[in-house]
Amino acid sequence: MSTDTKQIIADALLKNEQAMYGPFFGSLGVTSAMAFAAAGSAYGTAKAGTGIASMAVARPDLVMKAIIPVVMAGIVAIYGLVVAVIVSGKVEPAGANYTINNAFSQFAGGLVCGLCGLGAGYAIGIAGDAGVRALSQQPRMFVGMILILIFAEVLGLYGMIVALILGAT
Amino acid sequence: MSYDLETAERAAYAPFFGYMGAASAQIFTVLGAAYGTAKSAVGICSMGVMRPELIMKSVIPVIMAGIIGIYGLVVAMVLKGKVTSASAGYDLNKGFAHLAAGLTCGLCGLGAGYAIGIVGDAGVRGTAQQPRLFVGMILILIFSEVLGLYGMIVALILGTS
Repeated sequence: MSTDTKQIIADALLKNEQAMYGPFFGSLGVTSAMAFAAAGSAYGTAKAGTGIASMAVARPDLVMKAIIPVVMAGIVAIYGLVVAVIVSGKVEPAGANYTINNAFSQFAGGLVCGLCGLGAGYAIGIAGDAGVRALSQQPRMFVGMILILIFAEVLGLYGMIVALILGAT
Repeated sequence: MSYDLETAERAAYAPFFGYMGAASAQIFTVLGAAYGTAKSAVGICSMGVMRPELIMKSVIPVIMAGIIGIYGLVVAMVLKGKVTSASAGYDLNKGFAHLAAGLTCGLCGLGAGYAIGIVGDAGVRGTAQQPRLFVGMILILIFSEVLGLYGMIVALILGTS
């Protein structure tokens, strides 16, 4: 291959990297970060909510203690919100400053945050449901429930950390 | 110009596979960890009502499920550091290797989380009735955990060579 051909190929690659569909992936990353995290949060809230509602009929004094899983599920959605806001600020029109490399990175970051939030919300919902039902029969269950919920919450935090590293650099 | 393999390997979309690898490492391990946490939490909660003194001992399956998520975090960080733009020399060969690495770590973590969840659920219920099961439960949990570790080892070999 002559040096001229090599130069043409290298230029073509640089041009291909500035494809006009780049922002599509970046914006889709923003959407998936928020949408999947909110879906996970919704499942967690709903599942824990049914547990709280059926437990509170007999033990209304425990309602405020039992609301913790719902708050934790809400925090998962906030992780998604933070990543969505930060990544959406980084999406630009395609060009030398915004290549498909940036776009794919943001897409991956958004997916990680969203689907980790989905997993965390699922775990919070099931652990919260079982936890508050057990709490109404055994007050010493409270510390154990909080501990399990924190471990579930941390799964969403892992997703946010990786998403920020992928999407905001 | 005729078809040139060297040019074809340096496709602009090569980083897509690398980033998807990093993403799937974290996503699937966390989904496995979430299943493990949820399933063993149900066991802990139904057991803890009758035997509250065993709750702290029974949290071990949940901690082990959390470690699966850390495996994914490590692999995702390592892979993220390796992926660059195609013009900086990132070809399809590297992209596919990183996708394979991420999928290996992620899906091994999914399997390990599944095993930890079911073993943890049955184990803590059994420990409440027979304390001598505790050592056996820990042993089974470690064997489950190792499945995720295998995935991380293979992912690091694939991703860093």
